[in-house]
Amino acid sequence: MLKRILSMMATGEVQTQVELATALDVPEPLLSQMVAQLAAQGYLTQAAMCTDGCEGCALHMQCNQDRRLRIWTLTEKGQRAAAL
Amino acid sequence: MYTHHRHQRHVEGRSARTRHAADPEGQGLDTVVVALAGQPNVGKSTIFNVLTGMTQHVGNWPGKTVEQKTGHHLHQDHDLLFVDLPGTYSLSANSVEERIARDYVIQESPDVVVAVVDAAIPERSLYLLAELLLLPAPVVLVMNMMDVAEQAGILIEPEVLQAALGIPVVPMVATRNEGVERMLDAIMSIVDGTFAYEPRRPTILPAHQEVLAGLIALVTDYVPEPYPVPWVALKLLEGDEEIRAVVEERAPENVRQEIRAILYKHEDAVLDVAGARYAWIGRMVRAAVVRPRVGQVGLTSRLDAVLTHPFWGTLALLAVLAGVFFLTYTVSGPIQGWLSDLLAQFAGGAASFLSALGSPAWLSDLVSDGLIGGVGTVITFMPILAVFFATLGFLEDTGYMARAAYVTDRFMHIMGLHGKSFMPLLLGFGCNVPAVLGARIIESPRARLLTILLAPLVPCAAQLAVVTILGSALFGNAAGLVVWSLVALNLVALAALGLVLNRFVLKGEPAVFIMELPLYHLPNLRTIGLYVWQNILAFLQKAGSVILVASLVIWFLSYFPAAGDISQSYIARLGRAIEPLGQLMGLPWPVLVALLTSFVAKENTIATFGVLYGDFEAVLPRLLTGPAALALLVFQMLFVPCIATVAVMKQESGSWKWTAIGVGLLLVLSLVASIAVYQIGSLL
Repeated sequence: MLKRILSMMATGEVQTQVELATALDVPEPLLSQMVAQLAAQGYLTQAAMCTDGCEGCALHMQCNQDRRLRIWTLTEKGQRAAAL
Repeated sequence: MYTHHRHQRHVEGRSARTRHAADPEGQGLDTVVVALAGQPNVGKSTIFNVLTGMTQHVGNWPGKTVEQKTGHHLHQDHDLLFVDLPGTYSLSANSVEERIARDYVIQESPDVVVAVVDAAIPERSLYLLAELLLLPAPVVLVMNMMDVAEQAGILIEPEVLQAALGIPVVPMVATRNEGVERMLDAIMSIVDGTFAYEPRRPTILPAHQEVLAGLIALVTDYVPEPYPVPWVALKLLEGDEEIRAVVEERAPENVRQEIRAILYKHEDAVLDVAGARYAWIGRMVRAAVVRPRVGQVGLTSRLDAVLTHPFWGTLALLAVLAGVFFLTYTVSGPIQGWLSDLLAQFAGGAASFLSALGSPAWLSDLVSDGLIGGVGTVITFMPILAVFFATLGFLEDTGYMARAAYVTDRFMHIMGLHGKSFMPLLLGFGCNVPAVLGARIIESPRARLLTILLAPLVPCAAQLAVVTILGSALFGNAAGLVVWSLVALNLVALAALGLVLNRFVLKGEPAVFIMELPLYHLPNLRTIGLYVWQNILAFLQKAGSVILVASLVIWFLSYFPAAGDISQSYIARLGRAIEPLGQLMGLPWPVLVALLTSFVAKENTIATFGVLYGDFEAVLPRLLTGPAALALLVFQMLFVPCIATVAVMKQESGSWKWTAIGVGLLLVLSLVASIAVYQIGSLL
């Protein structure tokens, strides 16, 4: 199941967690948990919304809200695992 | 009636079992030890409090600063000792709480473990259950907060789940004391053996079963009591460092090396082990849980079916952008016009007042043209910015901006941009400086450089405000459509440049990522209000510093040395030197100079127009033909970024060469595009 997530991400078959959950036929909350576990084990990493230099940025107030977009990318370890 | 001494003796591990222990008063009650396990916030403490009341003992887990709570409950002549385990998400030794929970279950071997699950999101807690079932203690599953699940339209069938799991499953609403007695009965049915406890545990994939068997054979002699050998072997496969240390401490060197070799070879076995657990959870949930088709999640799905659709979603995004500009013009246009009139009257009044006081002509000119004409004009942006940021804040707060990101992502793929590139580019709509800085999150040097080079093509808020003002002055009612087209032009230019750079200069890597879209929400007016206020404040601070200085410099260059005769001023000399270039775009030299001053800060275009032309909103339409007006706006949108952005481009790319290439590309692009617009437009 987890390997399928990595390989589907690697091939670019899916763009969102909703698509991924549908493709794997699992509920979205369960998929979120799997994604979190893959991140905890170093297979995925969450793209940070902001680095420093946010002063003066018109969108900086939006950065730390729950309603923001989260992007998960494959790490090198994740890419290796996806290729297996 | 029971002493703390007995609780402590048990939970601190000095006694393996306390079943059938006699109480100090000699009543001879059996003690059944029950561990309460579960994630934080699943209502575990509520159950514990309902059951134990005044008998609770609070201390710390031995050697830890984590709170330990124990308490008693009398049920059918049995003394039930409840031990509240720390809230944990799994038993993977990732935290001190997880280590405490699993060490307790393994080393103290309670009679029963009660796994408490939030019935509204059962998937979240079932991973913990999957791990608990691998330990020696029998498990009772409690589905707490059934009322919350029911309110959310989630239908759970405990009997079906019980049949699927092979363990007792108890529905509960602990806050209403519903299901507690049933849970106690279930515990006792395990203890007295009346329940046929046959758990269906998750298994690992066949690919790793042989590896697991090999590990079991290898470590059997080196696993200390009371650790179960198969569990230890499984944890080794999962990469559990603590368990590995336990085994390696006892194993000889050759066995240690053999274990390491197996684990190195099967580094990713954890994916199969954990993946099989998730597949098991998926099967259980599908069997016994029915999720609603209506409500917030349903609404999000229905909206997303349109808003993230390749065609309709793109169309919706274009419509939303058009709506933002339409609203900006409709609401803020008249207010901005009124402020401009007020400003003109104020400038005239100030000049008259200063003349009446006998001040020199240059001072009167400085105040009316330099200060009020420059900074004052920029301040009339405020209504435009307020409406623009309010609409942006509204879209962000409802969760739509994430969908906009999703829709535009398809175009990012075409450019071969890394998935992380979208974040910095999105920030560019606020300000290009953090957009360039944000590229730091991209590990790939090529993707990072490509993002840095493209970020200035995202129109920032200041740029949008400038073209909004100019568009309104030059194109009247058609301004909304013109500005909308200009934004589209920038994004198309960004895509085209990205494509070219990716294909021929910085060969890109495939984008590998997924997005987690938030649910839609009703917007919070306070959040939006604060967002608008902070941005207006930042804008005013900028107007009072960078723009003020630039306005004064422009005024000085336009006033001297000919005491107010602009045609003989320093700036006129500079303007005439570049006039041939302006003629190709149909722009007189003051317009070109105004555009060039946007290199300091984008707003300076307006400030310079204010200094050089005074009421430029009346002057420019008379001065410029339609194609020239359009060329002006195109140049403004595609021109090189402000100096602050260029500075961070150098800082982040670490290369003068790439900074020069980035700036040069935009300079060429802006010149070519605006010349083409004017020349072609003039032919039509």
